[in-house]
Amino acid sequence: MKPTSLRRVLVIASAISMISLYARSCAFEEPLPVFTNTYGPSNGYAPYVAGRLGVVQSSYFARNLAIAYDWINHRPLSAEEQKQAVSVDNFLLHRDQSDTGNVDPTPKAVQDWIAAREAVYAASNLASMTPSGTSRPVPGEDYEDFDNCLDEAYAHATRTLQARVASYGQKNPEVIEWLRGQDAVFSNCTQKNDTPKPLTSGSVWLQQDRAYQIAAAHFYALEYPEALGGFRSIAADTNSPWSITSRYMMARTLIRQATIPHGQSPLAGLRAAQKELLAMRSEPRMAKMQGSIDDLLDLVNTRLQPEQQSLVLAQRIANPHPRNLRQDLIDLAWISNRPQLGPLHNSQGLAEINGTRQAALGSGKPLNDGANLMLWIAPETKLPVALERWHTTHSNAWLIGSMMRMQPGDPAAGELIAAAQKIQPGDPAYLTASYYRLYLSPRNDDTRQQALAMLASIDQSHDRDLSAHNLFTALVADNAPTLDLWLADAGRKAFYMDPEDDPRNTPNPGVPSAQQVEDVCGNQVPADQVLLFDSDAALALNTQIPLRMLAEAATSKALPENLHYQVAQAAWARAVLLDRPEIAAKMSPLLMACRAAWKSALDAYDHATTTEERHVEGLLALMRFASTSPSVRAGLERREGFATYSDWDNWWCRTIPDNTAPLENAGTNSVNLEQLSKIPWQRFLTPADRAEARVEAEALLKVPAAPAYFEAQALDWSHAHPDDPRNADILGESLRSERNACRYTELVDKTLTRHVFEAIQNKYPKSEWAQKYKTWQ
Amino acid sequence: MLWAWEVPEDLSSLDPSKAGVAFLAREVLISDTVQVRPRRQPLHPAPGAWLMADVRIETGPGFAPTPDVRSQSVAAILEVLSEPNVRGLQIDFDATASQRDFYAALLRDLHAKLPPGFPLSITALMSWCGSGSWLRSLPSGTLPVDEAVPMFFRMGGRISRRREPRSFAGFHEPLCLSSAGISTDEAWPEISSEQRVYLFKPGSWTAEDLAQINAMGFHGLRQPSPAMGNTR
Repeated sequence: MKPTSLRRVLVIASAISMISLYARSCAFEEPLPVFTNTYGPSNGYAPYVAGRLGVVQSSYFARNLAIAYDWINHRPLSAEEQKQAVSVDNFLLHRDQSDTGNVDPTPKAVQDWIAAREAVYAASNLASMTPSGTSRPVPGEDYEDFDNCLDEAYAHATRTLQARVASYGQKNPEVIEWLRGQDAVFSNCTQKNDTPKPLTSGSVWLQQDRAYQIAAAHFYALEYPEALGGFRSIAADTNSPWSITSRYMMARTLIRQATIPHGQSPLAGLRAAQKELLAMRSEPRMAKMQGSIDDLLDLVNTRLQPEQQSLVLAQRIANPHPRNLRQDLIDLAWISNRPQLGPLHNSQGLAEINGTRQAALGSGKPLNDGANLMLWIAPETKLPVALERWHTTHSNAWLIGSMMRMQPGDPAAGELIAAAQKIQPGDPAYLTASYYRLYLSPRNDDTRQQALAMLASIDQSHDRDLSAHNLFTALVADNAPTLDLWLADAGRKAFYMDPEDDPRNTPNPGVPSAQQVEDVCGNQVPADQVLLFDSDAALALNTQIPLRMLAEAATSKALPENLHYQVAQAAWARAVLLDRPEIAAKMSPLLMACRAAWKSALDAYDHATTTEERHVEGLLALMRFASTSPSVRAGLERREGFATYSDWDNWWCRTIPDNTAPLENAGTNSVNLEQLSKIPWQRFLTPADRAEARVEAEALLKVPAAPAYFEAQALDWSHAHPDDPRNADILGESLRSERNACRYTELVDKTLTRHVFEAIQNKYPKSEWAQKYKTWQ
Repeated sequence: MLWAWEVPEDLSSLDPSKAGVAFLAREVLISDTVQVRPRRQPLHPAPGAWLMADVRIETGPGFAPTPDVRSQSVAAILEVLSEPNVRGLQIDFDATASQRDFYAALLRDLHAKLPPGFPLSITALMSWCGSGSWLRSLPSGTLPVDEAVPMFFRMGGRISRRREPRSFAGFHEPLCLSSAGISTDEAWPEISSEQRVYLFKPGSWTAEDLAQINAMGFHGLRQPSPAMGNTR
């Protein structure tokens, strides 16, 4: 995302099923329309990892950027790698522990073990133990569990049992004795239970198996010295079929010992494990376990030396055929996002990692693929570094990495634009390069035509990417030469809404919907024809377009149908606040057509014969219709429509909300004059238009939150016109607004509220308002 | 109450007379069967701390609200009562409209199995708190919970939806009026002294946070409210 760009604000995704590293899904009272996904692809994850990247943004998760980097650099992911990358997405976003994408109530490995053992017991008409679970409380911790017996332990036991049955028969007493021993092993998965009894007689295979089972039982019982001793002894016995596995288990025992329970000095234990694993790598007989040994080394190194390990991971990911892309991406995500949550509570973050890496740039040593990838991913990498990388490597990745970090008007923009133009359709980088190229290009008809051509291409695609569509639509709008052409692209379709049971939610893009929703005027309209303002459009309408042009927009056929009334109401409210009755009168027919309830109030205002009378009729109209606001909304329109009263969404806190902020924070603050001066003007606005808009914005920014405004005006009027029979209503309506509108305590004036209350109670004690409001608080 | 969620938490310096702890004890994942994920992060409350066990319910593909699934879910939830010093139970489930009957039945089953007087709390979407709330209007009657905590924020990495700070304006459901769920990094509604406050922080509580709470209660962590003219 380009959060510093005031030219365009990209909406933060509502997190498609995203479960944060911290917590839970959240409590919303209305869905947030998402126009552009800023954390990852919006058109499905499988197409993304297959190279259909859409428009990649620098705000994507690290693993998503890593995948984009590979494709952009013409290092495609194989079918197997794509499958692994999808599996990671399922795992991290949906907490799906299985590669199949299904949430299994009991891991399949455990189910298979249960079935295998039951078959053996049943064959001999024997009763069996209740099988144990997989997780166990962490010793010394009252509220924490850990995964003690992993799927592979159960899978391995099943394979071994099946092999013993195949060799010796299902009813063989020694096989049953083996099974009893294995049950004792797994009885330690959830709490300390049994240790298999040692055997001094019986077949060699059983005695060898039993020795291993005893060591394993100690391992799961967290009896590490005993486990380590047992595995070491078996590892030394080269006649044992468990010798190699036991050698490996020595390292696992050391890792467990270092991390469970939570000790004071896990680093020493992990270093011991690292040393053991490095030694194993050079032992020829351990060759067949090389993959498992490397996996454990990765686990240890991720915790001991995350900076170095991130480079190792990145080097693998950036090159074809990593041994275990799935785990590499998970580890990369872990290091990128939460090293502080690891068992070492390592607080070193990616910022520090990249600080060191960036320092290496000055050393003159070339950076390998991994270092380039990590720099490319890092949000801390600034434009000068990105440009240095581009000039050094001339890679598409660094071309795009530089453009992502650049603002229009940068002296180096021309060079990057020219380079990006050479990227051809069909190249995975094409859409991304085209987007940033056009973003950086001067605003003119040529840029607009190119953006239109890209838009047509996207819309003709069989898997139309609505997020990319919205990004290019914003580019088209930014380069519009007239108001009408801008309006035609001001309304956008959200590509995602939260999954609530609400028929007003936008259905999946591309899926025709028969659903009807109610528009703000109470009419039923097809849900998939509802268009909304994104932040950039709202920003322009609220801060740049002068009032007379806003009124034109309200009646323009270029504006999407459902947005007319919102624009008309904003224009009307703004006209009343700025005392522009000629504009307000133009909006009245539109508002009355939407809600007939407006009529008497609007007629009274339009037909007022004096400035004073018009002022008070305008005040009454503003107060009577709780939807009035001098600004349009980014995102969803007011759910309660126009004129109707809402439980919690009435009038305005800010005359001009800060739509430079992400959508979910728009309205939290007001845009200020300094910000206004930095927002690039829409192309179609003349200098006179701009000056007019600026004067109006300055005047609007002086109008406080609606309750404060209404109360002050009501008091002024009633003081100046003490005999006005409408005073009770004027004061009462202002008090109603205070009770039901803006809740920022800094923006409401309790002194005014008290004065209004006292005025009603003292001067109009028999009024309905005095009866309704018995306290001023 | 401080929420202790999916991060390591050392709350040993929190004054038990100032605040209790509502900790994520487990997640119950319901599809056509029930899967349990215990807490995976350490939690160190102060001795004597008032502890409320939170159970987060999520539904997965194949969610089947059968009686068997419900009874398995209830059993999985009740297991948290065996954790040390747990004196209250809170269920966190953003039930959709189609899941409300199941949720209501689950809460009734839970309530029947809890010791008499054992506090049962739920978190609530703000939309649940208006007039005609489903919390009260189901055919089976009002939910048997002691409170429904309106969540005036988003949790963790999710984004805030409201454009204005939340408020109790428009809340008509009594279950929603006695408490408030707020976050240290978002605007707060006006809270009365009679309301119970549940406070969330993205990330682990620090020693400084706890010292502030010990000195000033939750007000010690109040963020300055946004004011007109300020930028973020």
